[in-house]
Amino acid sequence: MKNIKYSHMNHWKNIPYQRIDNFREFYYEDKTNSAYYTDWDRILRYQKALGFNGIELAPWDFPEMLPLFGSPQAFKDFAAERGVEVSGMFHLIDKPYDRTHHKQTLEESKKAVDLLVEFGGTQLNSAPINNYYGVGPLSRDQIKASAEIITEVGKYATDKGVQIGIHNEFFLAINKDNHREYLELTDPRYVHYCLDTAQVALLGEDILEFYDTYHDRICTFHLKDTATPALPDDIRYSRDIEIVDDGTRWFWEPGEGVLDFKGLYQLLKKHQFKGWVTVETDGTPDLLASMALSRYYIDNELDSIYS
Amino acid sequence: MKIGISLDMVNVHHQEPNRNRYESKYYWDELYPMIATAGFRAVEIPFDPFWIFRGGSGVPFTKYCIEVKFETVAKFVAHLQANGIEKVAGIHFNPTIFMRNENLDFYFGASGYFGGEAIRYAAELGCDYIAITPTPPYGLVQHYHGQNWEADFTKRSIEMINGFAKIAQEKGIKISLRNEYWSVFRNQNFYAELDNSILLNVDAANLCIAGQNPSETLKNSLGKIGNVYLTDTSFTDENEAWKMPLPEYPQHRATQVFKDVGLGKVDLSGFCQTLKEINYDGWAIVSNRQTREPMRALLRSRQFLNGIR
Repeated sequence: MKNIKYSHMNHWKNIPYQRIDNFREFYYEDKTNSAYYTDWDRILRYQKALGFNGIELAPWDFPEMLPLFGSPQAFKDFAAERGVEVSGMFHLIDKPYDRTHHKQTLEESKKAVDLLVEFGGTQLNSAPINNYYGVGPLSRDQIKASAEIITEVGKYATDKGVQIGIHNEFFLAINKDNHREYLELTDPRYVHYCLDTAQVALLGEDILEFYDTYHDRICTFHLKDTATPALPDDIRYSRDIEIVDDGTRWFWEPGEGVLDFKGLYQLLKKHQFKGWVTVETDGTPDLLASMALSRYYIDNELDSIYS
Repeated sequence: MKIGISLDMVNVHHQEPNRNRYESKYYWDELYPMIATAGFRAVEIPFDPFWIFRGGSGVPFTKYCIEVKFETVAKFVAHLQANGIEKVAGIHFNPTIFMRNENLDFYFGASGYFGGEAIRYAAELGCDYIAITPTPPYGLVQHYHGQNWEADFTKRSIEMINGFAKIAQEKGIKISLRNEYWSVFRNQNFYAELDNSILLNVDAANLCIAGQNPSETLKNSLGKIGNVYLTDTSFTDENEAWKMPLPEYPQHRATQVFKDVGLGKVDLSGFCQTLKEINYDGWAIVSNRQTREPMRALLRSRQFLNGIR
C-alpha cells in the first residue's frame, strides 16, 4: 500500500461525450486530433494508463457534465468502471471578508460539500477568497472574518467526511503578507491546507520551509512547477493576471520549472505524508503530454525518495 | 447582401489541443488581421458572460473583457479597424449558460440582466443587429425541470424577449431571433406573441436539421429577416438528439453536427441564390461553430464563397 495516491486536476474544460463508440468514423470526419479529446471514456483511460487513479473536478465542469451523465453518482460509477475515483473538487469561498455575505457563502459551500459527497470525493480544495484586485488589501477584521467563515464550512464538511483544504493562489486577497496569519486564525480541527506548490512559490514562500512548518495542517497537494517564483506585488495584485496577455505561463509540469520537488519529497518522507497528491497542469497546451511528462518525473525522480 | 464571419469559430468551451491559447489576448490579436486577410471585413461576436466570472478577460466576448484589455469599446473598435475589420455587424446572445440549476427565477433573472447588457453593448459597438437565442436546449431545460415546465417557461421566455425588444428599440438596434433545431420554441408558433419589432434569423444548417427548407424559409419571411447564417451540416436527427441536454453532441453516434462551411450537405449555393433573388441586403454571417481549426475554417469559408460568387 503506497502512502501517496495520485490524482489529476481536471482542466480539460467541457468534454461533450460520455463515450464515442464510432471513434474511427468520427476521426475521419475531419481527420484532426480533436477526436482524441472529446469523450470521458478516453480521458479517464488516459488517466488510468498514466497512473492517475483519482480525478479532481472543478465547478466550471458541472453545467455540461452533470446533464451529460444525469447525476454525480452516474459519473462516479462511470469513472469507477475505468479504475478512477473522484478524489476531490475545487471550490471558491466567495466574499468571506464580508460578514453580511457569510450566510450565502456558507449555503453555497454546503452545497459544494454535498455535491462532492455524491461524487464520492473527500478533498474540497478551496480558494479562500476572491482576487486581490478589487478586494485587497484586507483589514485585520476582514482576515478574521474570512477565517471564521471557512471554519464554519470546515465544521460542516468534517461532519460529512470531507476535508476543506485552503488552496491559496498568488493573485488572491489572502496573499503573501497575511496568509500565515489567516491560516493560524482557522481552527485546525476543521480546516486543512492544500499546498499548491507553484501558487505558494509564486506568492513568495519557500515551499519546503512552509511545508515543514505547517505539515500537520497540510492534507493534500496540488503538484506543479513554476519558473518564476516570488512574483513582485505589482504583478500578483494586478487585474485578471492568471491568464496573461502575451501567453506567459506561470505553471509548468513538475520538473520543467525550478522548484525543489526532491527536497519536498524528502520532507514528505520525514513527516510520513499519506493522502492524495494531485498533479495540476493548468495553462498547458496539451494536457495529455503534460500528464505523461509528470508521470515520468514522478516515477524516475520522486518515487525513489517517497511513494 | 453584406458578408461577415462569426468569431464562434474559436471553440472556447471544449477541449482540444492548444485551446488554452484562446484565453490569452495574443491569440486574438493575431486572429484579427487573419480575418481581414481571408477577405472578411465584418464580424459577429458571441456575447459570453462566462468570461466575466473567471478572469478570462483575454476572450473578447463581453464588454467587461473589452474594457479590461482596451479601456473602452471605442478603442476596441478602432483596434479592429486598424487590423482590417471595418465593422462588428452584430453580436449573439445565448442564455443557455444560465440554465444550470432548478431555479427558474435564477435563469430568467440572469438571462434578462445579461441580455439587456448584451443589447446595450451591441449598440455601443455600432452593430446593426443582435441575434438572440430564445431558449436553452429543450433537453437541458428538461434535465433541470422535469415535467410540466413548458407552458410557464414559454410564457416567461416570450415576456423576456419582448422586454429585450424595448431595450433594443431604445438603443436603435434590431433583434434577430434565432430558432435552433434544439430550441424549446422548435415546434411552437409563438411569433404572434412577439413584439412587432422583432425580426427573424434564418440559419441554413439549423433549418435543415429541423427538417425545413432554408430557401423556402427565406421566401416566406420577406420583410421579417433580421440576419442570416451561412452554416453547413450533414447531420440528420433520426434519433431526436434535439431533445437531449447536449443536442449538438449526439450521444448515440458522435459527429461534428456543424461542418465547416462548404463541407456539409446544405445547398448553400441555392440558399445564396435565393438571397440574391429576394434582394436581401442585410448581413449574411458565416458560422463555423464546431470547426476543429479556426484558421483553416477561415480559409475554407473564403474558398467556398469565392466558388459561389
